[in-house]
Amino acid sequence: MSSTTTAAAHDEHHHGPEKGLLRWIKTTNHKDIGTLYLWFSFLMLLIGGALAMGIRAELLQPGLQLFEPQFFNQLTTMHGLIMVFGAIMPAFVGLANWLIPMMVGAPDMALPRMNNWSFWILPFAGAILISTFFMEGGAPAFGWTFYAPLSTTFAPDSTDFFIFAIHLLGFSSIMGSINIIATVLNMKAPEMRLMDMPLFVWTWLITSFLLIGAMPVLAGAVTMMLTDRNFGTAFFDATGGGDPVMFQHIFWFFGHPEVYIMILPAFGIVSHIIPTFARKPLFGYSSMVYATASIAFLSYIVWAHHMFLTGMPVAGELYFMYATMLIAVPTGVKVFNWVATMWKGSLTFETPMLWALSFVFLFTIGGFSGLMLGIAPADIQYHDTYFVVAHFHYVLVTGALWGIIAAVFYWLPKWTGKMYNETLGKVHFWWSLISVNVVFFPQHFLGLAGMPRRIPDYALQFADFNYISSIGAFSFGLSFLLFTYIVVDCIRNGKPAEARPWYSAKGLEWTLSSPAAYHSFGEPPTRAEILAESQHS
Amino acid sequence: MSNEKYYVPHGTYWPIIGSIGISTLFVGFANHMHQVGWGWPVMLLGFSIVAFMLFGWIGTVVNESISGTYNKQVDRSFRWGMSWFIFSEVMFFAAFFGALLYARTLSVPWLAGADNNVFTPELWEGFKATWPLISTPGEVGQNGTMFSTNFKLVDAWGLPALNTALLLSSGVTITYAHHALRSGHRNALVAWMIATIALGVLFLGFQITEYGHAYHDGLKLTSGIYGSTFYLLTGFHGFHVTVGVIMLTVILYRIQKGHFNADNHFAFEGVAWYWHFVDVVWLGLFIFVYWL
Amino acid sequence: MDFVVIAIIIVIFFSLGSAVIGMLRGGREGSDKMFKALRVRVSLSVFLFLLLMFASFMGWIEPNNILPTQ
Repeated sequence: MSSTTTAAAHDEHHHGPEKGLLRWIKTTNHKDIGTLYLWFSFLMLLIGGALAMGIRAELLQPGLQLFEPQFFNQLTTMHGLIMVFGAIMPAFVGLANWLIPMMVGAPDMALPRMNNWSFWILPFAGAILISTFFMEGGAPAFGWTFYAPLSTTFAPDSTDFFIFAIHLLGFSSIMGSINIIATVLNMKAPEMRLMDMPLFVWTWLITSFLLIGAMPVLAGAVTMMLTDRNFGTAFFDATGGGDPVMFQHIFWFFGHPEVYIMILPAFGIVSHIIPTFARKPLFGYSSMVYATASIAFLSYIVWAHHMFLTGMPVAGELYFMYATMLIAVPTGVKVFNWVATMWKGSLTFETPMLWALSFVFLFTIGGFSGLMLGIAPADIQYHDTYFVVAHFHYVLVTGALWGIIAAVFYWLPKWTGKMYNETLGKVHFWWSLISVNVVFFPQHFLGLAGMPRRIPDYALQFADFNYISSIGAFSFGLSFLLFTYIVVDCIRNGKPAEARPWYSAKGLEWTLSSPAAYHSFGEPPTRAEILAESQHS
Repeated sequence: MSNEKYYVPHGTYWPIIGSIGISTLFVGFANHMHQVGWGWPVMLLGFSIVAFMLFGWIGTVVNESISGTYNKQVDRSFRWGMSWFIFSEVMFFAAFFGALLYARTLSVPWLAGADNNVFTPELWEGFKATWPLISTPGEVGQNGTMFSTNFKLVDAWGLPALNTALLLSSGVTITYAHHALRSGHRNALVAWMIATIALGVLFLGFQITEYGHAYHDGLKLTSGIYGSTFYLLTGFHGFHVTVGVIMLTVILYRIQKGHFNADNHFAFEGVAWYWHFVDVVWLGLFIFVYWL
Repeated sequence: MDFVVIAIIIVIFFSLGSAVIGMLRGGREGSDKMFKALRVRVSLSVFLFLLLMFASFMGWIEPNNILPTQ
């Protein structure tokens, strides 16, 4: 490898970060950018969470209590959009930024300037999206899936701003995933083979392919929305020969890979944490990799299971139902692998392990309710009820978000060089675990009894479960104050952490000091080091 | 920490400038569409900021590249980046081609009652499924429509075929330019590049003329699904040709400056591939919009 | 005839993809691969265009006329 670095770049290595605010604006450092991503997504999580509190406050009792129905619809729409595009996705990209270069033995991301841009688009996109609340006619109110014609003919003017916010978020995601692919495949230590890579790296690599395949299609969908709204095209209008159902096809061609985009990195995180606290190598490393790849492939060919009630031909329904069932196979492989990893291990239950364990359990519940929804004849009953809400909150809150929180506790010592308060961590875990189930478990019953989603009012027989669910939601919301305190307390007053704070943790990131140096690996690790830290030995 | 193996660029202002520019562009555009007076100038301002950013950023990278800052690894990172950017472009066009095929093979026949949609003919009495769609369901129905299809078809053997010939020839000329570059024939390279750019510009000129004819003959964005798919596909393609012509011009300028040699010309390869891609998309358009 | 046209388009796309792989590999070897793949794609495209003209001349294929789609 030819070795020419300029003096300017060289200085940077010695001097470390710049001072002040400019550091964060100009930075090309993967750790700085990862930190920015994580704080941004946390801010979005709090905003999206506040909207959710509004939703549950309205639903605490039957009857219209606090909000007009139109504003309630704005709350559900913006809650979904902010959580999906503002909180979960950027949080995973932030984790990727922080961890992937350290895990593959690289100094930084492959395209550091573009890395900066993919973050710095987000605050602008988020600001445009949230500003729609203050526009005439209010924020978008058609649900996060923005089905036409609700989002075209019958939508407020602010929808155009929403469309551009989606374009910007799409640019950001595409650039982020291009960067991750280039980093993993080009920057990994020369001695590291593909099947030596840790699972978080593998899952993110596969997620990046999903993002690059799916996000441009979303961009196409919102562009057609834009022209339908403003330039008189007829893509989603039957009177002009188009079809509103076509919007659903295009949207879900993006939307279904999107749900795996939000869960695959969490699979990777859990595959790091469970072996550490079970003190055993990960069971079935290569089957984990292949299972992830199969899930990703299948995710592209099952989209219409979201549309069983649109009047598709029966052959289509059958195909999409069976293809959907097929996803349970690789997912099952993963769950059984995690369980087998723990089999006969010497388990301890530090905070990250608690989150990872409950992830396995609760995500499986979400997966099973997903299977129920994937059965076409059964879906006729469940479609657009609270059962769906319960299902995707089990996979997104106790799945994706759980994975993120587990990762935060697991790698916080590496990021900050300090330990968090273990007792508070456990208190926070149990508090969250109990309250999240109080929120979402009763929603299964509500849905099976027929309560539709996206309504501000409901029939009296649903009152009790809604009351319980709302109380749980307020408690779950409050738990994030404790989470904030734990993280800030760790950064400010935590006890210094060792380079390898978890006794049996494996991975190249633990060979670096805590906190890790500004540029992770100056010299790529050797084959022996890589093998000693690999997950399957 | 002495680091001889890796290159990490120092801090940069271009991304934040780009974010400000692109947000200004979009906010201006959205306001312009809502008939707000300041929308149009703000949109132009945003566009200028984006253009300034692109030239500044790419200029920085070019300067670093010719001063020998980059090693092979950085070069490979750029190659990975370009390849996957192109893949995202493929998927973007796939969405619009998907819409075209869906409308032709599924939704238009369904509107006339094909498959299990036996009741739709009662909604749109007298509607006949044809492609190109010469009368929209709204026009034959009772409720009136904003979509009017009073248009004459664009003849495939007129400008479209000429344009196909032009763009295909530009594919041939850029292949010759590529060959000249690889075998170190500078003068031939410059000549073939100029030919490619000229063909691209000619294509764009004819495309604008064709839009003029089509619009004059009544084919508009509001002509129902045929007009929608026709204009969005050709429009986004035209936009990509424009970008391609600009990039080719930049490459020509860099060739004049002597930035490339027979073994090291990734920027040329990236742009050449992009041009081939645009060419193939047009071929797909020509066949699926005008023929099959 | 339609199938022939579509098959050729698919082959063209494959050669474009193969050119990307060449570009990705870089170096003289990758450059060779890329150049050859692009040459294939250009020749095929020109051939396809000529084929369309010929087929249309012979009346095997007609441009999109107003025909019922079913």
